[in-house]
Amino acid sequence: MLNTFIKELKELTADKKIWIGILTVLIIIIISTSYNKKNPEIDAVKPLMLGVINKDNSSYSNLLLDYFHGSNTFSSLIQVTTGDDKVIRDAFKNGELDIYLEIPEDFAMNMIKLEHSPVKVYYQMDDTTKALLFQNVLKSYEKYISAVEVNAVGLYEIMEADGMGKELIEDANVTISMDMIFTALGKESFFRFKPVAKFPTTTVAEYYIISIIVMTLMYAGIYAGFRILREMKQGTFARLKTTKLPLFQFLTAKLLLMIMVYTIAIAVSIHILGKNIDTGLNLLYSFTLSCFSAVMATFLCALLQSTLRYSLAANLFVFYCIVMGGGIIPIQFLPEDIIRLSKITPIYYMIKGIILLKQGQTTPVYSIVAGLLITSVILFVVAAACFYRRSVVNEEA
Amino acid sequence: MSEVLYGIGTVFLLRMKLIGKDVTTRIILITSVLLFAYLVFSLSESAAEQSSLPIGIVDKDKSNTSEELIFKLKKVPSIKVIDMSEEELYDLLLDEMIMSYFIIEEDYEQKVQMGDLEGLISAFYKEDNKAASILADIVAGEMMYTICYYKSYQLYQRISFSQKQFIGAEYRSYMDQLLMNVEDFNFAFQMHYQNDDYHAAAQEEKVTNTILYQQLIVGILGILIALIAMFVISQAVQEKENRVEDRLKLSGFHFLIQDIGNMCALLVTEGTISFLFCIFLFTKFSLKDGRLFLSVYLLLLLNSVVLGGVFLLFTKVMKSMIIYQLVGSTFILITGGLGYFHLLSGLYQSFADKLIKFIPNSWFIQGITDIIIYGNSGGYIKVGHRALAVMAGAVFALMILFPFLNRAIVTGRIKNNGQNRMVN
Repeated sequence: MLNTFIKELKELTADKKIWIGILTVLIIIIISTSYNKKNPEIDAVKPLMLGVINKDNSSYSNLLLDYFHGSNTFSSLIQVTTGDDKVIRDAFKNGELDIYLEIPEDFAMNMIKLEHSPVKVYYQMDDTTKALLFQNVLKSYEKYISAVEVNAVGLYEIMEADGMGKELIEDANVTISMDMIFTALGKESFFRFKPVAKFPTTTVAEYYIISIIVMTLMYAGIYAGFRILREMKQGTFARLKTTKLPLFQFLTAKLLLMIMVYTIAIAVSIHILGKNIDTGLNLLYSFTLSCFSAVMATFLCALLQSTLRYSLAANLFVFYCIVMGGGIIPIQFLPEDIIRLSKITPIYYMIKGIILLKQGQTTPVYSIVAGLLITSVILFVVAAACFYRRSVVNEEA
Repeated sequence: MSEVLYGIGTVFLLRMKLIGKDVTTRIILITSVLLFAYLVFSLSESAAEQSSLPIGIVDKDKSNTSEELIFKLKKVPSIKVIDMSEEELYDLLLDEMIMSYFIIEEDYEQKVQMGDLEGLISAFYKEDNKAASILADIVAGEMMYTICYYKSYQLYQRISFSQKQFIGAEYRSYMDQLLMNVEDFNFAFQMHYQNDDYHAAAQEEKVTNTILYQQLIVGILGILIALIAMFVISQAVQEKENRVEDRLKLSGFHFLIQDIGNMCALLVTEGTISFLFCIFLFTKFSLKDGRLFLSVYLLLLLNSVVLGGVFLLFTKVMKSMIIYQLVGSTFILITGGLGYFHLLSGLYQSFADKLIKFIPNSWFIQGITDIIIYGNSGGYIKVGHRALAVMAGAVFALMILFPFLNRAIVTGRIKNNGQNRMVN
């Protein structure tokens, strides 16, 4: 077995192109992982540039602006510039602003009279994501304005219907409008915010980096399968029957080098991704993932004899496992029936395990390790049995 | 000319036979199409719901006011409300299956009626989750009408006037009537979507959160097309590995004939599969104009041509199936990932912004997005079509020039080696 291992090592080191490929992928993963750690998300986020043409200048229109300025939520996401018509429109045309609002004259007066004089909003639609984000912000703002408008007007009309004096009605209108506007501005007091500090959140960027690490590992496993296929084509398994070297030992030696390379790569990436991850558990988990990836590929090439079939099936298998396992659309955004399916894909557990490791939850990680190792052993035994029954594989022309 | 066509036809038929005659390959391709169809249908069915942010809600007050709040929250399109016990929601929060959960406290209705608005609802969220305050703002938006109602009612009650007619139920009845009678009452912004590339109006009903979900589905399709292209072209690499290409050179068989034959086989394979994908997308994305079907199909074909061309270029450099697989899958991973990054490029500053323009998947996603949002406004050929056509042209040009470039490099190396030997 040691001889086979040394032979594998020599073959791998002989071909420089393979090393260039492996190192390139490793460097890309490590650089992007550490880039993400060094640059916190908030610094990388570009605020939305919002322009406002305020032709009204009433308390309602100032509420509109204070909503963005005063809110902690939006002040980091939106930068507001107020100005006159020409300045704002020119800035929008030149691409300095992503969106601009035009608050019409008599905006407040028309609201009191229930005359719909809408605020016009102009979006640059070449960036759909930004446009949708701001649209959601404005939709939530619509509720505040509606609530204040309806109740202020309702009270005004009721007092008029009662026959109260004009001065009393006007005073009440101002009082209630101000009260409701300030209530809206102080909406954060409605809540008692209780952060749960038990485990840190996985940001979107971290989730996708974990997903890329897992995807890369699965595709790297396909490479290990190709090396096994090459042995099949060369008739190695048939010739092994004439030697004392058992097939499973040969297969193990064949896979061991690749597993070791993958383990180191994954362990380094996970280590950079999370602080204070236990090194031993990290290595164990990385070894498990690498083992599973290589053995899964071996199993697939044992089932599908030909290089082309294996190439197609393995790539598609990995791809669909990634899609259904939450590698592209995060699990919490998948429909219920696909979430049920995802729990039978290995990718779901591989991604989850890294997230749990990062969060410091060790017990569930051990369960995932046990599950994946048992599955690997079963697949390895089946693959070895399939190889034992086959002799030389001739590629069909 | 007839020889050229004969050569192209021979290569084309060979590729198609190699794909078509193998039962396992056919089964794998058909299964792949069916799986994708299932994914598209499943993801599109619940796109509106799944593109919303999931939150939990617990009602400890169980009053009319709290139930009304939950009812309103369930109608907000940007959130998905999950009703479960506090313990279950806590577990979901730790599992990151929900963004946040809210507990409507016991005296919610009473406090709202009295105008005591401090700490009405407890909001639980993971400590470093920036989306939590946005969610609280959305919830507060649905609370505002009721809060303002009781504030205005309390003020009305405090006014000293003997002939007040609207006490209790009459006040509520008047307000309900006011809401029903006034058309278009709810204050709403008038949205104008502008795009310099089209000078055309976006279809407002299409500009919803669902579009982000649809873009993810399109990105998945882009990666799938890349995988199939890689498979079809891999036969050429295998021939190179078996030295078939060297023997072809002896026979005088021109490399371009082979490349065109390979590309025809790719187009037929991808074209057939893309036609089926087109039907799924056309149905599920509610594209009504029949010509938009052709627009989507053309985009799929252009994407296939660009990817096929790239993989054909790989075959010129790579002799080994293993290297081809390694490089090909890395290429698909990177371009697939960067194609998605396009969705966030407006929000995040990154070095990847500059690379996005060269990523076929990015233009593919953009093209389908424009078809969904703009429909036939601004024409059936979108910016994505043009960009992919330019990329296809560039790739073809490289394919034609490659042997000459290669010869120049080889000749340069031979000259250098010759000179070195002379010096030695």
